[in-house]
Amino acid sequence: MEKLASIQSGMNPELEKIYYQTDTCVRCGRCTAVCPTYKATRKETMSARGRIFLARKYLEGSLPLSKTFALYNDLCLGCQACLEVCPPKIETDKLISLIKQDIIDKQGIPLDSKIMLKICSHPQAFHWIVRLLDFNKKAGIVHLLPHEFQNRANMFPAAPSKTFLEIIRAEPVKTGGGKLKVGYYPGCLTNALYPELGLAVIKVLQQHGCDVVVPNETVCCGLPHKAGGEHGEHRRLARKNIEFFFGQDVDYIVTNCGTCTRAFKEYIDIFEHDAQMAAKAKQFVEKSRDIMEFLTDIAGLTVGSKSMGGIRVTYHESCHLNRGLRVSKQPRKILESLPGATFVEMPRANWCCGGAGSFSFKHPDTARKILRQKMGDLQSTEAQVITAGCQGCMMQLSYGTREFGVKCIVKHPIELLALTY
Amino acid sequence: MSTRLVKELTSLLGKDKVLYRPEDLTCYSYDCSNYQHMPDAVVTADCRQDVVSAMTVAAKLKTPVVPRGSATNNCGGTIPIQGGIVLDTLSLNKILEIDKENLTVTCQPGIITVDLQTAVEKEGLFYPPDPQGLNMSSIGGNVAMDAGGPRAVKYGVTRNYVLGLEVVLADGQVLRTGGKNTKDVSGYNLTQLFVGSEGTLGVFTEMTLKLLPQPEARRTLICAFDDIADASRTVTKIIDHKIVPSMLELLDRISVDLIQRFMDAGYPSDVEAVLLIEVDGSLTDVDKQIDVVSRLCLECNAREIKIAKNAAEAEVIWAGRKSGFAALSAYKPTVLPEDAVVPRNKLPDMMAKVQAISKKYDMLLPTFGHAGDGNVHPHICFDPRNKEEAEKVPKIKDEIYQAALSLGGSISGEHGIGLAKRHLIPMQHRELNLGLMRGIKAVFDPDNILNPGKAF
Repeated sequence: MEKLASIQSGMNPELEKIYYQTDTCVRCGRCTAVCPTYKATRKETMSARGRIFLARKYLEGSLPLSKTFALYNDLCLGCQACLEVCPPKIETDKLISLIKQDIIDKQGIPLDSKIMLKICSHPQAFHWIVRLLDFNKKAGIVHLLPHEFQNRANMFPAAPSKTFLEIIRAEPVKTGGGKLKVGYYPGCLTNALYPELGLAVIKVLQQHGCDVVVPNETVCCGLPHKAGGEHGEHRRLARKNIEFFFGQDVDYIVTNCGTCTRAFKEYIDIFEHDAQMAAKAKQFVEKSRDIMEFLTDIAGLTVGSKSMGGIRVTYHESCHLNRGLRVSKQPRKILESLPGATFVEMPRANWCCGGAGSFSFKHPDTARKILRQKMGDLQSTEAQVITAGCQGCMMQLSYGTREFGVKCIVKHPIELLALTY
Repeated sequence: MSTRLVKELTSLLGKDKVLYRPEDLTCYSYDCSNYQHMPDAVVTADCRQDVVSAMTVAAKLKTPVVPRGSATNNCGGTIPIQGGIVLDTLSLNKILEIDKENLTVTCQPGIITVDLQTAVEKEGLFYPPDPQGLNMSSIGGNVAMDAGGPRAVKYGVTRNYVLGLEVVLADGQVLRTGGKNTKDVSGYNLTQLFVGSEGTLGVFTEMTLKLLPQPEARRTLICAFDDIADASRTVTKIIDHKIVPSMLELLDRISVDLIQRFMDAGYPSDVEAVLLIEVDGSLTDVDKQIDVVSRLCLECNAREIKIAKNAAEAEVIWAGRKSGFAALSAYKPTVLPEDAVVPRNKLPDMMAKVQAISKKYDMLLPTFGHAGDGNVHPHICFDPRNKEEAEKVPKIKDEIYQAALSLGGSISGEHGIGLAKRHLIPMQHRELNLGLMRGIKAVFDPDNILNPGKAF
């Protein structure tokens, strides 16, 4: 029998704590049954038990910090599917995040990551990049780009003619009914790529008697910066979002993206040295809701009477929404209540689509394998519409339908709900 | 040596199918046991030719080869204890044919057990062997280890379903044995020789398995006892009344408590033992069986009987049993599921002996298992960082098997020998038997390159 090794001294205390948690991994392999990267590659290094084992060897000092080691950590989607089936509940996603931070501490933030985070800090720039890509696609110039870049360019949907905020600025939001004052945070992707979703959210909120307040600029939720190790920028963005909605004195803050709301919840412990800000952050976190949770659990769902005309609808679970926020029943409740629509469950609805933040851009080959399975599961439902509560997922799913020729359109459940009034 | 090995493998298999970086090798150094050893290379085969190529190189260089599926065995069966090649067959995972007329399925070794079961169920057919890791384990691994499961009491183990095999031998030759015939007495039965051989005789690339029609109905009953001896007695009594349940599982007090702490399976509290019983057959038949079983449980002083009202209720009851190992892993960092088997009527004696060992070493030995076939799993749960606890483990383990052997039992019912129980083999088998086994091994693998140091 193996003697247990120990973690090297001088590691960060959080890593040390989670290292001893991984003592309980008996390598039973339950995680292999639910891990999307393992299913896609069938490689042990791509399973949670493999990642735990590698992390242990690294922390014990018997594996050096290599390019391959960094890559294998980066190939974890962070979807938390393993946590649900792990008998001793080892937080593999947290372990991987801490290891990634440890690598950043030692090697700094890589250049491609820095560029990406810069773009995220300036959503206006992001919007122009999408338009430029779109122009290139239409003009056929994309084909002149290197193959790798072409693939990534294809992941973006067509850019709308106007951003959400451009529309709202031209035609300010009318008051709703004064029942509740709701701050609506559209998020970068809704603004740049899905303005019609933003309008649908406002319409639905107003149908529920709410006054809606929208910020006049998009500020990133900061999740990419937190994951990428730019903690100062993360705090700056958080502060900006908190201050805006605080100034508006809203009852709730809703988003239509599981990832953004999940990111909001993480504002809770980032202002340790600023008591006043920490108190504001606490209130902000308590008021933050996903739109679907807000409608069904707080506002009381009101559905219109217009028929959807006999469509079949299915639902894909965003990991942040489902495992991060436990919002899973609410979207189904909305979809089941749509007049003239049939809701069908898709197999493995709660499996990650491979989008996972910047995962699909960084690791297109693995992401594609995961997406292929998702598209197969989608086709088995014969649904005409697939819905999801996160714009990252929506982008990835619509890329999948184009790439694999699946005749299905991608919507947010709220967009369908808005059509019933 | 290992550079040459990687070079030769890569020249035949291409770069993508040969792994050699330390990060990759590390992840093929373990299975679900407490042993570890690094291989020198990993081959991820996705066709028969890949397996042939790997074996050709191995034979040439006399390098050990460890065939591997999902590595969910808990006896060290897939640890490359002497280095060499780990030959991963998980990507050989196609179902080649479901033959509804002959009631067979032909598939590749890498398919996951539950996926095979689901596929045949869609055709109204039934592949009964149900190792508790069936959501993760591969069929190839099941055949290599002769995996069992709760249904063994009525339906037997993996061995009883293997009709034919395609095997790549140690020198790279491809052997086909058996087929779709339900009867076949021509020559020695080589097919069955490979079942349970733990990868020491050849590498599977295809298997033909027997199927059954799905039973029409199933009923589940859960029954609580204040005395574990009464529960054990009930098991023999049921069989004595010519009823063979499709599952007949016994859980002791501590197992019941730990499972309930892990998930609400609806098990009663403050009981010494619980029996979980499933009967299957035609609709009228299951009702009759469940009546007789209930009566027998009461005759043996059962305190409480609950019959599941529907499939959903039954599912929860069995989910509790399935989560047994998980529940124990949540209790202590390391769990060694021991696997002793005794003749069915010796079950009460075996349970008593396990309890005595638990008392002697002052360690809890949560025990559950397939009581219907005399197979019990006392679990040694301990913290490897606790020296006092860890030192007791090998002693407890050996005493459990001495107890089983003294009752005419065996040191393994369904988990296999691997590395974990090799030292116990001479206690069960005489030199005459072992000599014959060594002889067989030498015929198939004269250079001893196939999973060396395992099985016996």
